[in-house]
Amino acid sequence: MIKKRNRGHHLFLSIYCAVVLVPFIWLILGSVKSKTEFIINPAGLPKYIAIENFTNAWNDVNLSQAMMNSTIVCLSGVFGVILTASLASFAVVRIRSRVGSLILALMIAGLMIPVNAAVIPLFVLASDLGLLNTRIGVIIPAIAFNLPFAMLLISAWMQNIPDELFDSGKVDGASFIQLFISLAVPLSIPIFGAIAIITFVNIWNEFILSLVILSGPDMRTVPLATSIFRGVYNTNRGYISAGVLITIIPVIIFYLLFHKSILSGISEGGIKG
Amino acid sequence: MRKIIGIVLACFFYATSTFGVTLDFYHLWPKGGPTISDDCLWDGVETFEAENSDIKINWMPDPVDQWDVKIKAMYSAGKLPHVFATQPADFQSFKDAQLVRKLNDVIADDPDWGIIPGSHKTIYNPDDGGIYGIAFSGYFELIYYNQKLFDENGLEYPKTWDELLNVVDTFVDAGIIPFATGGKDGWIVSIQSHYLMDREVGFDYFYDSLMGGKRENTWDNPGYIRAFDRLAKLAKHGAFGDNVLANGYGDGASLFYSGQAAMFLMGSWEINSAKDSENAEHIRMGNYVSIPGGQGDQTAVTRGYGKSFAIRAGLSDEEDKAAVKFLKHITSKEVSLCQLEGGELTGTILPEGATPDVPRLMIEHFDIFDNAKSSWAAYGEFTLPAMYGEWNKMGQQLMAGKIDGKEAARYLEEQRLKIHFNE
Amino acid sequence: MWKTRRDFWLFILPGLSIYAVFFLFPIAQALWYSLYQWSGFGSGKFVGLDNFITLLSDIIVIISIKNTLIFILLSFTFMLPLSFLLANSIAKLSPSPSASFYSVVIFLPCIVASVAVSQMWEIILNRNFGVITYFMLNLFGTKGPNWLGDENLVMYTIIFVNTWQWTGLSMLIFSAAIKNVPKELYDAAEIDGAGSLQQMIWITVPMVSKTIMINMLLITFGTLRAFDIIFIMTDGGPLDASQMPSFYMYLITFKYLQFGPGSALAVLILLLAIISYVGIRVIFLIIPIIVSANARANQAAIMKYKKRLSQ
Repeated sequence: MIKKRNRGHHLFLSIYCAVVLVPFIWLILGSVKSKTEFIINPAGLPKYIAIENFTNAWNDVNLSQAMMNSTIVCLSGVFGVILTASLASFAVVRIRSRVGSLILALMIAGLMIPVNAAVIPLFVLASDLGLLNTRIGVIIPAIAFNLPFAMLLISAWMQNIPDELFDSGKVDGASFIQLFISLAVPLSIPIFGAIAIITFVNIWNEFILSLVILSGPDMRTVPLATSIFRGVYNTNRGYISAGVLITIIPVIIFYLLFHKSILSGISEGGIKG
Repeated sequence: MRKIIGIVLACFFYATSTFGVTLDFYHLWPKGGPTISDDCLWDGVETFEAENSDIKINWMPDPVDQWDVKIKAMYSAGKLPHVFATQPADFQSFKDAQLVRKLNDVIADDPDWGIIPGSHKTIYNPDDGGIYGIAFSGYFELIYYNQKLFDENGLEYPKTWDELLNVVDTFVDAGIIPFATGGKDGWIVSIQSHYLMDREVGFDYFYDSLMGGKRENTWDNPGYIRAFDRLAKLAKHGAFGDNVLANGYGDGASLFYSGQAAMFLMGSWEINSAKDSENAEHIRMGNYVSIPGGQGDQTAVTRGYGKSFAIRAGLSDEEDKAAVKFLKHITSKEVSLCQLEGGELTGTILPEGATPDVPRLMIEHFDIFDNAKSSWAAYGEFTLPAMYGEWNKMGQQLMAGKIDGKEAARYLEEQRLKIHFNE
Repeated sequence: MWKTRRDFWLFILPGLSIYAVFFLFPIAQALWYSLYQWSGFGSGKFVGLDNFITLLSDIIVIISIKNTLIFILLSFTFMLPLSFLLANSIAKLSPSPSASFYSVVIFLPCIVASVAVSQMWEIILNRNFGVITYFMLNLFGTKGPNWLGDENLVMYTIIFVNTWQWTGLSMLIFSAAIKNVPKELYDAAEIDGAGSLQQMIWITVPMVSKTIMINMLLITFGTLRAFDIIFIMTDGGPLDASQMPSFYMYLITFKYLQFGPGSALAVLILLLAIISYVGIRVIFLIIPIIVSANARANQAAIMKYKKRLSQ
């Protein structure tokens, strides 16, 4: 069935995939072990399924609220990033100018900057603007942090859209914004998909920003909630595993549903960049 | 029509303006956090709000291990919450910025409050005699030990340094880890190192050199050097396991409770976990050993009031009154009783005639305390965070056998001049 | 019709203003702090370049830079060939359901938060209670090496975990490039008697050289920002053996409340990023010269092949 010459490839890939999947399996097994069982039996099948790990993790830190907050923040952030980056990329790519190239370079240079350095000044700024402990206070900086990567990929992608398409549009009397909406956007869906997942994951996992700007159980995002049960005083590995598992499952589900567009978007965006 | 709207709006504004005060209350841990005090405090908040309908409390709980990042961010923006929990180390940084309200007047006004004298030692500014915080969480730091393991190996709990070495050697031979926590977490190393330092030299020396600014008291003195060498010696004898830096708080606790380690030098907050652990009935409390020739009090125990509540300075009259009222409520005798029953010590005395139902281990803590001639808070509370970090690091280096006492002391003295005096 | 100027600015403004206000401005402020001695609230003291001098004489900074270099070089050594080979194998198998399956699995760790990844591996690598220790004890009666607690081993452990997480991304980027290599080249080589290994070395690799550069840049920038993994797994320890610039910056700024040196370190990280960027680009300026020679040779091969077909 498998062609002879492909056997080597399959072997290689399967081994690597096993290495990838095994830690996840241990995480899942571990998440249902009680505190004491984990100490005696970290690797094998659990003798007793400790569902309370999940229920405790869920309730103790109000994960449902955290999940909702994270989702709101992430979706808004993703939307914001794609909107602003696509608009800016389109302008820079379609209207070639020195100022445009400069702005593009400035935005992409953000990739090199260590983000943690900006946290304290951001806190002061957010507090002056009255954005503390609001989701907006996290969403807007999150958009700013994710713009560099988005600009990089989207501008590269748009550059590869052939000029002729736009020229014919121009001839037909379309305005700039019409060209954007009817031509650029539909053609860029794959790269938008890639940016969506990467930005979603980045914002979902954003910790220090949320820590500093948010406070209180109502506004907490998932990483903040997770760190509570990961805290210095907790030694129940099963509980921690359950918590970690809960927080990565939504992203994994999202990924499995949309993997086709995600993978193709990244790979094609990658080479064009 | 416009007139009606105007009146409605006026009523609305009037109503909201007389609604009252909302206080931001920043505590270290959320409800359900690692210690009992949080539940007691939460209940305290609820009863307070019930009794004071015009004051609302906005509780701001945050992640356990990053709370200090948060408070520092707030501090650096000059925006501390109205009432907040602070650790002595952070307070050292805050007090100079004058963001904290002096509490001497409200304490003097209310002798019934019940604050234990001396509990404010670390939230105290010697320059102006100001008390800036009310302790809500105190602790002892003593050794939990597993009596069964001692019995099985024909050992008695050590009272002197030589007995300790003997105990360590015997346990190592039997494949048991003498001290559960090794050098992974710097702060745990400092508990051991300051006991040694205190036994050798005594507390006043330390307090004077860093709080009182007595320049001639340095790290570079023979007593401290001996203390550091003793720490290194313990590590060399295998007191912390075969890999000295491997065991931190989490692993150490697991090792001790599962009977793989014999002793656990830890704070009284651990009582809660200890009393419910698998080996609970075998756990006893012991004081640190005495050092031959030591200048300090050989019976002294570490007894501190780590965390305190403070009020932000510069509040409006109304907010200030509300904040003081709130502070009194959450550090009241009733809340104190609740905390004590959970194994948590506070800076407030108990209500008259209260008979708390405390765990056995807590009683043992108090027994040792009663037999001690003196007690003092953990040394780390009296020093700036940067200095504390360096000291922890030196402890780890000593344990790992990378340096000896003399080098450690000299390095610390260099750092002290840099950090405390900017030289 | 087209008010070019107006349209340009209209479109750029949303993104640019958010970026400028919430990213550039705070960063500029942070960098400005590097010239001051400041402990948070209140005014600081201007100290000029003092903070930088302090930093460079701080041995931990030296260690963290050293660790960064090791990290980057080892990542290049392992992640690049590995991800390339994986992409190559998948390309050979695609399009097929198994190829998609493999891609999906291999990319999975990339979307899992670094915090979660670090947590997962900590459970496996923990000295006292970890999975590996468990197997070692049962099979060999010894606890095995101290993955996270041995100063000589810890960096390699971290690099391993990081590679485990991010190889998928590299692989994906290679995948796309490999897909775009014209099939005729391989056919031509096949006829000339080249085996698949030779084809890979002489055709595939040069043709994807631009993506090699991209991957190198991504790895470099990622490493300079590496924080979560150190934070969860080692706290910079043991004894500062796994210190990295980004983590140390966090320590100085948030734990020790020394904003001056902390910001100076941020400036340093930025400088390192710029230097690496320039360095890598320069290396790859030389490559195209080789590539174009190779491309010309390939071109000739294709011509020869086509001619032979038409005969």
